[in-house]
Amino acid sequence: MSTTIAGVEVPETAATAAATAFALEHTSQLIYDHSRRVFLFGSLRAAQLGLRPDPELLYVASLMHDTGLFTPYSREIQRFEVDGADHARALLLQNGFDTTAADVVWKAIALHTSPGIPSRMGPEIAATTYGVLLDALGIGLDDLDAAVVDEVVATHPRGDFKKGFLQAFVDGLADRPDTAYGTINADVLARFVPGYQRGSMVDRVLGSAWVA
Amino acid sequence: MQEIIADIEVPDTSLVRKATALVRAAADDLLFDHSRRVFLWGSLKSRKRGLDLDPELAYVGAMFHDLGLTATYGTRTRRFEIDGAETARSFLLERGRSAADAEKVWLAIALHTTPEVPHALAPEVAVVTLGVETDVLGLELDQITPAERAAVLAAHPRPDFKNRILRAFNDAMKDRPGTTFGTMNDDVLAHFDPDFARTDFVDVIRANAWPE
Repeated sequence: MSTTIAGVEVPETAATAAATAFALEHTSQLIYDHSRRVFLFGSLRAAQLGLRPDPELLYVASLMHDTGLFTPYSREIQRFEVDGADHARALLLQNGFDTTAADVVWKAIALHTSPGIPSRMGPEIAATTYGVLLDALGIGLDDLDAAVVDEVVATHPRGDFKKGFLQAFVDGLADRPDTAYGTINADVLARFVPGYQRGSMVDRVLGSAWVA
Repeated sequence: MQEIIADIEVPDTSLVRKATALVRAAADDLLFDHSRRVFLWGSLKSRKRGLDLDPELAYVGAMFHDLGLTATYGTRTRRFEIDGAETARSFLLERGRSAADAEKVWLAIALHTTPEVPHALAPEVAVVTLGVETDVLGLELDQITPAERAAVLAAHPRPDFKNRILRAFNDAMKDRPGTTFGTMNDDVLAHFDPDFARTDFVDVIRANAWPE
């Protein structure tokens, strides 16, 4: 028996069960609910835009997209987006998916904070970003029926989302602040972490090892 | 005639000659020489890492990566990286390369300012960022021998490169400032225009249409 929320069928497979379990175990309630909304909103926006993402891959990408914010999962100091992408790739390969499918989900997660790029890529990658844009930034909210939005939010409440979401970035990047350079994440650290120095590309160019 | 610089062969194919001609016609010496160096540094570093490259794809990725900074190929509606990526994809498809090959070059160009991600993708994607990071940021210059460095710079000199490339970035992006949000490119606009107001991710979260 499958679950349907706001008209979106939630796929129930070994891989989606594993992704759900991973997110519940390794993220907060706030991020878990956000991730479920990302799947639901991403599916709804994809349908509006005529995209046909594979629901299972979109689900895994959505549920795993912020898992890199939670440490310690990787001893590798890398962007949280890449960390989460690595978790998802490993989960899919363990569940019998081929590298092509795992690569799609890897890109969907690795690029979900890169403006202007994922929307030009494949349907699962684009839909993940549409879900994130809708739930985190409100982009596309007006394009959905209020009743649909209400059903999603009733199932997975936002709580004090804006505040909790920003705090999750601060906490998740505390041990790897340098990985925020050149991304939206630097804005969060600059606002909330005393003494954080946002690097500048201009300084990197002018101060590089080249003489001129 | 086969061209070899610093022991790197410039592929002697019709596609490569057309790519060179296209960039030569659109770009000034600054961007043309920079793009050639990106190919050469990227190829040298890829070889040292044991990465197996398709040289034609590496060449087109490197040569087209900054086409979005030129008057001919730059737009005002999207990130400059996408301008070059789209131009390269069309160029390759029109000349019989596969969609998968064109996709690699598209990613190489679209992601060349996205931290970390290109290094985790195919060699033809990573090569452009390896070259860009060498030429623009001077990263890991010690991996290039003095003889290699001298040969590349003799063929493609970099007079006052730091200042000139920053100006080129600014000139190409100041009329589409919104496209720099969440990327390192907004550092350049902030440097040249004291009145430039960087869009801040925290403000975007707080001000968006969601109430909480």
